[in-house]
Amino acid sequence: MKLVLDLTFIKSICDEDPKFINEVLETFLIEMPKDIAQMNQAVEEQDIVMLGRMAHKTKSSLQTLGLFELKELALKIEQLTKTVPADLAVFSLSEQFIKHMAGVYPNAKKLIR
Amino acid sequence: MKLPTTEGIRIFIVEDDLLFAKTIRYILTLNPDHEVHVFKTGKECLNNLHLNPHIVSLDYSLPDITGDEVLKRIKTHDPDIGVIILSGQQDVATAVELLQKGADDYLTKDETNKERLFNIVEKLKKSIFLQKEVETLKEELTEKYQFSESMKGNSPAMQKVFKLLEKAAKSNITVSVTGETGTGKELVAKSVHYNSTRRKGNFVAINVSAIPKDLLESELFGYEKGAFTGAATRKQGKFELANNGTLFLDEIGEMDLHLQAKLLRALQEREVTRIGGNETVKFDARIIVATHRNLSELVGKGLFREDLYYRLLGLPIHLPPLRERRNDALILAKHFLNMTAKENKLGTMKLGQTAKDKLLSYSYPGNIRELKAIIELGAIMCAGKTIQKDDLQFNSLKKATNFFLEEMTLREYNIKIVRHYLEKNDNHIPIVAKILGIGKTTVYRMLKEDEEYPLRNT
Repeated sequence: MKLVLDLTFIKSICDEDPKFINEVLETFLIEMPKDIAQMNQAVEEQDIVMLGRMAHKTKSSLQTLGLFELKELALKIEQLTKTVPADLAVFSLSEQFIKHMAGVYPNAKKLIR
Repeated sequence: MKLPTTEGIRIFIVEDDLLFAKTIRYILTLNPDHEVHVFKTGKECLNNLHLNPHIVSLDYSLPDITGDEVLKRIKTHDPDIGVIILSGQQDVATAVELLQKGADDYLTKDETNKERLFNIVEKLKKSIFLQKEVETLKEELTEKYQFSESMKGNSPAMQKVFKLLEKAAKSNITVSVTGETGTGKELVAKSVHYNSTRRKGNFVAINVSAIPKDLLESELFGYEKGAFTGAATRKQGKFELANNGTLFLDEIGEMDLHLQAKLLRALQEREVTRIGGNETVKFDARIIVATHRNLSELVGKGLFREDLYYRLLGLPIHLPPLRERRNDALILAKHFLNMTAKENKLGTMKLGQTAKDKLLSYSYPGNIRELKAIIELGAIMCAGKTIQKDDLQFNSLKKATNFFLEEMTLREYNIKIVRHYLEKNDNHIPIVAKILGIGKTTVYRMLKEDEEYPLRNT
């Protein structure tokens, strides 16, 4: 799983404006742990709806920061939460996802100038 | 929607992913004319609709309210707010569904880039400014067609017309306008429309006598693609175009009997069927008809359907010819002079006494249209700021003789009368003598005395 951020998209939008890039990274480092905490809680409480909601929410940030493999994983989790009956594999996938995300933060911090 | 007074555009971003919201905000605020607000929930967005956004970028999947519901409530608040749906690639089907429910465009988050987002926003802005232009023009038209602005006249006959116009504007009744050519029948129709509750709808006019019979049917009812040779695409008819507005059928007396039957059916059923089609299309339009002919006489001659006549009669408004309200000619002349002077940047102009006398003595066979043309030309021809009688040229095509236009001697008047009757009777002197109750020799003598046209052709 690739845990290194690819800022090509963000850089293309802001013409490599370091101020905006820092703002995006800082927002990621503040907001994403909150979402992951909620996801963790959803796993503990076997709350499929919340799990799906949080997986959906994280996708656009992951796409924006070039974390494409993680985004695909989030998409898979979201889709599994919608199957009837619920596919219990979603919980183990979510745990994996949460674990991977923990490895992303240090990489994000390194990119802040 | 409160339309932007300047180029400023207020945009709402409704997005629960703050990072993505900031990215979109960054792109949109690259244009300093954009005032961007970010809301994390649907509820926050709905609570702030009083700020009157012009465009809303809406994430279809929000934590509190579905995108479907937010879209519905935005459009209920103001159907003119442009809504862009943002969704993931895999959710395009949902986005398309929202497009069908009134969203204006959509963008997948995977392909969000500066150009795409800007293009969509610019497209919506164009539509907003176009709408602003249309509304401004409609407001201008409404002002232009205020009864006090559009219709002039103090005569009792016109005062009666004004009262009827007000009644017509306040109701939804069919209006039938009669009057000679040039009395302002279309102006009456427009004034009724722009003073009525239908003014936001279209005013659609069609002159029955100006369109070939074969084409009139397709103009009125529209046609389907392939209905006939040359029908390359579907075309809406005037009834459909006038939906929620007013349909003005000018010179209705010229409509042939076959089409009268179709018109009657359309008016009875309040629906039309396009030529070559099966589907009926409902319409809700006020009908105003006009004619310079006497419709009841046409009914008597079998040229106009009686049932259609009664259906169209509604509120009859008769416009008196200008010769029956000569004093109004001066009021109208001053009005047209002000308009012409303004349009041609001629400064303040006025009518001299000799011009007023000349205007009052004329019979205006072409009615107000003719008076307007006379004044417009007079204003242009005038050397100074005051129009005199020589600046006014009466070039009526109708040979209505007015003997008081110019001061003449009694002898000259007599000769003019004789000439008039000779012209009317193929220069047949015995007949003219009989009509005038004078001897043939008197006619000959008068013609000999005519210096301008000495005895000739007689």
